[in-house]
Amino acid sequence: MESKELIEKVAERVGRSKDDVKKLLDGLIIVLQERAEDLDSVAIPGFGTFEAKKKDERIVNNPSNGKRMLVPPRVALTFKVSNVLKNKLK
Amino acid sequence: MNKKLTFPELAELLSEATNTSKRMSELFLRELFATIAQCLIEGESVKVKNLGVFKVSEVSSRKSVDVNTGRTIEIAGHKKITFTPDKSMAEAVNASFACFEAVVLDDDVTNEMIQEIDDAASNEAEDAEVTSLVADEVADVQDSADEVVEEAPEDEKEDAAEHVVVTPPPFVLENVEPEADKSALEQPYEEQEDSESEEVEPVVCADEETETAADEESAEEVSEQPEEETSETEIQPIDERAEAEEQPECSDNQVEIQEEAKTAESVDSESCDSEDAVDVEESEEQEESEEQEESEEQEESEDMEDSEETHSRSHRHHRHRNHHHRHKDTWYNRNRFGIGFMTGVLTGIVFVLACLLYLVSNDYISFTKSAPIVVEDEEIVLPADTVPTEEMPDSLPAESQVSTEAQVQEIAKPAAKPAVVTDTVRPGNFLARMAKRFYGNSHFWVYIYEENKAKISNPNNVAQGTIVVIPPAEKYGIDANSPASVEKAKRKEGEVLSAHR
Repeated sequence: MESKELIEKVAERVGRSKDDVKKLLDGLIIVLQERAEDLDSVAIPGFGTFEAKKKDERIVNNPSNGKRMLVPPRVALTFKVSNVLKNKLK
Repeated sequence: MNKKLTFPELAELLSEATNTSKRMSELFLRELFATIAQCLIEGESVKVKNLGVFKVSEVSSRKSVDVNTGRTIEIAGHKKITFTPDKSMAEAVNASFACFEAVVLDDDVTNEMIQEIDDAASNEAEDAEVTSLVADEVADVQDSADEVVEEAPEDEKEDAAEHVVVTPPPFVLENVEPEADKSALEQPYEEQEDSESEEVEPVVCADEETETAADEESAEEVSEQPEEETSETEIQPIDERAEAEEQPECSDNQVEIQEEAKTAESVDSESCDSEDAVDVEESEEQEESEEQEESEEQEESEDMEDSEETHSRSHRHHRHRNHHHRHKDTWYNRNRFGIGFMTGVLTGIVFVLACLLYLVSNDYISFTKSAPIVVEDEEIVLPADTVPTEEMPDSLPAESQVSTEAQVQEIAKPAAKPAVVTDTVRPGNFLARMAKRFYGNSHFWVYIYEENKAKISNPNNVAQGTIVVIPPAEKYGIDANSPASVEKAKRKEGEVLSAHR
């Protein structure tokens, strides 16, 4: 499902116009991004947790040419699925 | 930093960011994630622009070993949700590390070499620590050197004022001996005295002092003499110089110094003495630059600190000033005493007022109301300013919002003595918000949850319309003003949340 479709569905459920929902979604993404930049985690009950995690630098092998690379450390946004959703999925 | 945001907090942030009501943002979040979850359950992947893609992938069954028993077991195939952040999102989050790039390692670089580099790096870190420590020490030494240089002139001055007249020769020896230890540090200063000194402010003062004083007093000539001597005999040991300096002083300034010593003693306290010297200094150098005053203030603070120490040493440059501005010192002291007295009196008044207030309020309650009503009254005070629904499980939210203090009292009075405060969970009225209203801090929601465990299965998702009992604050020792209590609630919060993650 693409973004547009999602917005349509949510707008229907909330009973607001698509523009309003789009504005809220953009706001949510900005808030999540800000939190992630602060390395905070954001828990959404029944869905999961967004968390920015620092990954250490590491050495990887390039399988195609056998060269080894030193991959620098980075901060990555991770998502952990909540148990509720996990169980529903089964 | 590393904070865990709960759903209501996220909703609040969102409503702030988008200028929408909290209720709307909560509703939106709930519906948005419910929609995404529903799609995922149906097996569809969801792409949210600028955030990322949620995908469902199949995990085929695989064999594994039970860690506890050691038997081989088969993990059944299942579905898994993966999230891949959007490129723009990933870059924004990784902004602080964006400067790094992956490096292709040469073929001849072995793991051992990398290990060595790592070790070297850690060693370097240690070295850096060591050097920084050394640097600190050096800085300390320099500081102490500065201190010594700053102290030296004052010491001499003060002692000259107090003791020289009484016992000049033994005293000089006594005081110079401890200074001899620091002679290495002092000597450069002494040598520079007649020329220009670059960094030590007190030295500058010393020079200027003597100059200005020379204009004013005849005794100044005498004080200049020793300095000339020192410049001539730079390599002389300190004892000799000190003696050379002190002797003319005693002879010429004897009368003055005696007076000064007496007054200083009459003021009695040691700190007063040192202050005296400095205050006098301050006022005498009115014509001199402010920079000097600053340095003198520094001296003053030093004097306060080691007033005892400074007493036992000799001061050279203050001697001709002390007696000029004695009156200023007494004013200073009186003023200081006055301030102390005023603060004492004020605190006393405040305390008495607080006591009176407490008594009056107590009396008022006991006079105006009979004992049983007092209990009720206290219980009503809690929800009075908020939107409570007392024993009204079926009342609509709208109604309950209208219910005012009067209404609450009506309901509370017929209720039994331990009136139970309840509230209904509605959109926009979570446990945390209730806790914020009733107890003053949202972290205390755990206690509401604790009280209503039977009704609430998951504190993250309380069914709407649930009527929860708000426990009295005393029951769990809830006190929003006490950090310990809040901390306790936070710990409990962590436990509860981790149990329902």
